[in-house]
Amino acid sequence: MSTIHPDQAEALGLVGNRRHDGPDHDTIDGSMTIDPATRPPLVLGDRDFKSVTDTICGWIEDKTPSWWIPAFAVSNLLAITGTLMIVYLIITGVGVWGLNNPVSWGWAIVNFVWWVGIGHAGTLISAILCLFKQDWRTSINRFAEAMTIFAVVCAGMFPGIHVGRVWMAWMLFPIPNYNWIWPNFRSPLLWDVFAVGTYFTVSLLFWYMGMVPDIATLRDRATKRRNEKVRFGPMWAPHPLPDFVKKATTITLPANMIASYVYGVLAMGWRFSSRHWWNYEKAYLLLAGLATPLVLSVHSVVSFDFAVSILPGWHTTIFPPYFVAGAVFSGFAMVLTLLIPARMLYPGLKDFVTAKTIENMCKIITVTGSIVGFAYIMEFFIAWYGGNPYEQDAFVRRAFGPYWWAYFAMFFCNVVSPQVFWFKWCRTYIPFIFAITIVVNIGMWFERFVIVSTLSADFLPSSWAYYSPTLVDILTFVGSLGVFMTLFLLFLRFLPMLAISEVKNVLPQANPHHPMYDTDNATHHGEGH
Amino acid sequence: MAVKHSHTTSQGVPMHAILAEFSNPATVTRAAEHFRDAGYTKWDVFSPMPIHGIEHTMGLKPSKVSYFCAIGAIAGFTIAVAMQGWMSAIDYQTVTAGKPLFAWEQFTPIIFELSVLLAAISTIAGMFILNGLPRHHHPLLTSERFLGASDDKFIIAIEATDPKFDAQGLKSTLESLGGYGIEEIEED
Amino acid sequence: MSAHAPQLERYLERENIFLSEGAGSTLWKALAGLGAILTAVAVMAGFTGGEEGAKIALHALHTGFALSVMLPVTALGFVMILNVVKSGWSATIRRQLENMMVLMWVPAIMFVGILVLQYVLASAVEVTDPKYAPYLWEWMNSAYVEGDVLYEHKKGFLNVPFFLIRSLIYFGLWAVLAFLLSNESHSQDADADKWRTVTALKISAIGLPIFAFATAFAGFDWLMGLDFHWFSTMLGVHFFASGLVSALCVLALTLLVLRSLGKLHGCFTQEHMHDLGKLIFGFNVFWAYIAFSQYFLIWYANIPEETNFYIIRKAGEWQWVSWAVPIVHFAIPFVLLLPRPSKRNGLVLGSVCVIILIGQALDTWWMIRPEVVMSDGHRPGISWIDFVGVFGPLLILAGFYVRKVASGPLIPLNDPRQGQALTHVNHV
Repeated sequence: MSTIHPDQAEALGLVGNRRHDGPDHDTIDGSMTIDPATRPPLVLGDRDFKSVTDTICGWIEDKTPSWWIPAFAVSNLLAITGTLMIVYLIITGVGVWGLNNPVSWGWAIVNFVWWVGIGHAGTLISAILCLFKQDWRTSINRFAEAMTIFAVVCAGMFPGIHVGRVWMAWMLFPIPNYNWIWPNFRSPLLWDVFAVGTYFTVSLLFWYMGMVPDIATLRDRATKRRNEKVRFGPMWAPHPLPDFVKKATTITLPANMIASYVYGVLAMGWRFSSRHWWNYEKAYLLLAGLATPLVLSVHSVVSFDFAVSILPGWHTTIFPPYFVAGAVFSGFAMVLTLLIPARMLYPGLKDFVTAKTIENMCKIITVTGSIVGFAYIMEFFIAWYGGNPYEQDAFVRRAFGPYWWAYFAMFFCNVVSPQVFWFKWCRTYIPFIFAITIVVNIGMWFERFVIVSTLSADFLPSSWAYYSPTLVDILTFVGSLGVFMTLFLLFLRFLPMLAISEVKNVLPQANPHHPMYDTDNATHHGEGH
Repeated sequence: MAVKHSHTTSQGVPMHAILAEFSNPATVTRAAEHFRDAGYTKWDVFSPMPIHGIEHTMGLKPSKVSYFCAIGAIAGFTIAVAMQGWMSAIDYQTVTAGKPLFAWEQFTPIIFELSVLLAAISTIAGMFILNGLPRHHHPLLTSERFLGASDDKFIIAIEATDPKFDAQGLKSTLESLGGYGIEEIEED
Repeated sequence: MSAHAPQLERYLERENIFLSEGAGSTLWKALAGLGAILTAVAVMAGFTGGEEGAKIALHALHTGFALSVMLPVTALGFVMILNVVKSGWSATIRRQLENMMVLMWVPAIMFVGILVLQYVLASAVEVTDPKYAPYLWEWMNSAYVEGDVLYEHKKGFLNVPFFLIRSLIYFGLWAVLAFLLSNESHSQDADADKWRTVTALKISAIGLPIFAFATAFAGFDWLMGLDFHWFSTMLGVHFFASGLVSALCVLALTLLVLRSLGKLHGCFTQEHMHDLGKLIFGFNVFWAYIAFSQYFLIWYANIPEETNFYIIRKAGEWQWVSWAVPIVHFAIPFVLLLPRPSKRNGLVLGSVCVIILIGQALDTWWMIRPEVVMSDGHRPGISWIDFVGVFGPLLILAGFYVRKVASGPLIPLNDPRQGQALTHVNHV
């Protein structure tokens, strides 16, 4: 018995759950609809399930895009440079960095906090926005989660090499040793080990679990391709070929063989059973519930590194939420920095990552940037209000001292620049958004630099010293960018960059009670309003 | 496994299941309602994404994943308290910053992190255990039609071990419910 | 969606979304009357109880005021957040928050009362040393701050005229925002103009940063200022977090009561209950996170002028309150509200809301009341005056709230997202 396929035919005009009772403002470009009664469509281009699968899998299955190999080569080169710097550091000592006596924490800790912060947007998008049922996140969550994991990898590098004697790094963990010495659980640096370790593990598991069904899709497609044997042989061969020749010249392409095997192993045998989905969705929700406080805790613990101390400028009770807001802020900026070029380079991505999604992210950047600005002002006010001359001095020195340029850059990039997104034009003009996200990334790096450089004027004026980085510092940081980009490019090439099943889930056709399936009550369509 | 194969395919091989394809979530939901009401137990709906409300349609019980999560969280909490308490306050006593040896405040970050870590691991492990995964070979996966479930098809499969299983009757039922491409899947 | 339209119309019938004529008129008068009596008793106790009575009454009434101001203020904040995020599911429950936020004038009057009472008591009650006169804000007592280096430093901020101007500004900003938003919402009831939702969004977006500063500084002035030596950057956030979870609990209780009266079919379903439960759970955890971080950072750094705040609360009988607050406010609700079924059960959700509200009263009381210090240096513990002083103002607010709820439709009548709220479902 043949059944019609209503997806493609009827999806036209039914994109998005909107009520047809008002003037329809043009939502065709996916920009934020003005009419409050409607929700703009989440996926454009009147896509059916099949075209979603084909587009997203196509990015992986098609030939390597021409820009990919040069980009990968450059990223690799940077990563190798960074690695060489680390080798140089390890065989020489931390003196190759610009550290001096009061500034015993330099770029390494700045980079660590910056990278960890960037990671936060991934968890925010996948967990918190999931709990708040923000369906527009489905098109960016995979992307952002991947970014989280690679950012945490880069972050984890820095404390590792910062300890100087990296071969002693195992002492960070509570492992019994010959002296029966245990790590100091009262030290914030040890909390970092647990917080970042947990964060990395949970993010990785969350990412992987989300990817299992999509990998299964890739597996099934690879299996189909593997089953299609390819003929090869000389053009001049006789036309019908004798059987034994035919057998010898039809093969399975090795790439399909490998893909089917690797995706097969990774897919865990997922077979899209509803009974499985039921447990899966529950687990996903629970993980979102766990990841939400986790993401708050990780940057709070990072802020404890500074805030539990009694150093002026570091000991501020607002640090935990302020660090978290800053982390989300920088993470969203980084997601956009990666998404905007990807939207250009991958045809079809614009249908999923709509202008509306970008606009929403711009708004979140403005909100979190303003929260960060709020914290800067509160810090300053309480530094004065507290009446502690050292505290006041630390803040005055930040804004007007030798590092005034860093403070200015921080304040301008983080508080002033995102305010442009109050204007519709600014959050819809893509090149401008891209520029602002770069500015925000720089600003958040400077925020951590401002905090760390407070060390340069400690309690003993005779030891005050200006901190400047060495070439090794700079190249190590650039190297971490290379590592990040290398991993990210690999992700784009070999793994589904959009959550296929989640995107399908927000298509209007996915709702079994959607009026388009109401064949019995077809007349109801018109009389509803 | 001592499964009695009372049903065989037309080739005479023991049968695993009968499957039918449906074109959209609405028809598959209506078909699922039928099988739930008819009292089938060994059957399943396969869909490229979770269908909203299918748990009610299929009459599924609340997922047990939450228990795994709770056990993991409790284990993490206990381990963290015991580990930190024993290591810092009993086995290796060092006063730092004039704080008490056992100060819950300082242990809180790691207590929290370990609870979350073990809860998350056990949640995912629980999900896979409850689903009987990983299982890389499954009779259904041998059917090319079945693989459509990972793209845009909706599939219902009724296993031969279901007490109500009746190959001929099922085929006509599936067809009348809007299913097509009905296949018999061999046991492997 | 169109197929459900006839069913949705049924939810919007008058008896479902209006209380009957004259409903609650006895209740609100009884509550407000009882509140007024309790407040009067507390004031009387202040005049007759000597130094201790005066100080306890002042601080207890201030606790009542702080709780009464928290609820409308954070209700306003949450309404603004809902508007900004274009929330659909809440379109049928937002009205109860709006009913709360327009009551801003009640705490404003209480605030004037507290200030007047402070000055009257300070001059009426005899103390051996004018330094220990019954002041709520000790920095207002010139005898107390004489020669205090820190006060000299802060004088530019902590002086009575500026304090009054600031308080006026806070109330003014909140009241303007609350008026504008409530006006949009009620006008939409009448004229069904969906573009009012967009106007409300714009007001909220501009209002939120203003609101953030006003609320943080109000927290600094009215709570942190009680011990002017102490400071914490987090306090503004703590003030907001406390109010937010309390306002959500009041919202949930209001809706549950209306539901039990047979109203709001379809407007406040198990699904809304579930989401509200999740929000209460989440913001309660947020409160705990903020409160813990503040305590933890101060405890760890151990700087004298900061730590003093916690030292007096961890000594003597106050230490039991210090333990009770996290248990009542956080631990018990956390465990009770964690399982999914309990968020979907009105009885459990309602009980948890009551527990959290008790916890919040305890928390605010714990923040304010240990500041009472007698001439001989001891800090008196709980007294009967605390109960009348805290619950008096709260019952007055509750009375006016009941009146407000009964006075109009229970949901915004023509919200363009009403359909989304009425068909709202949680799948997992």
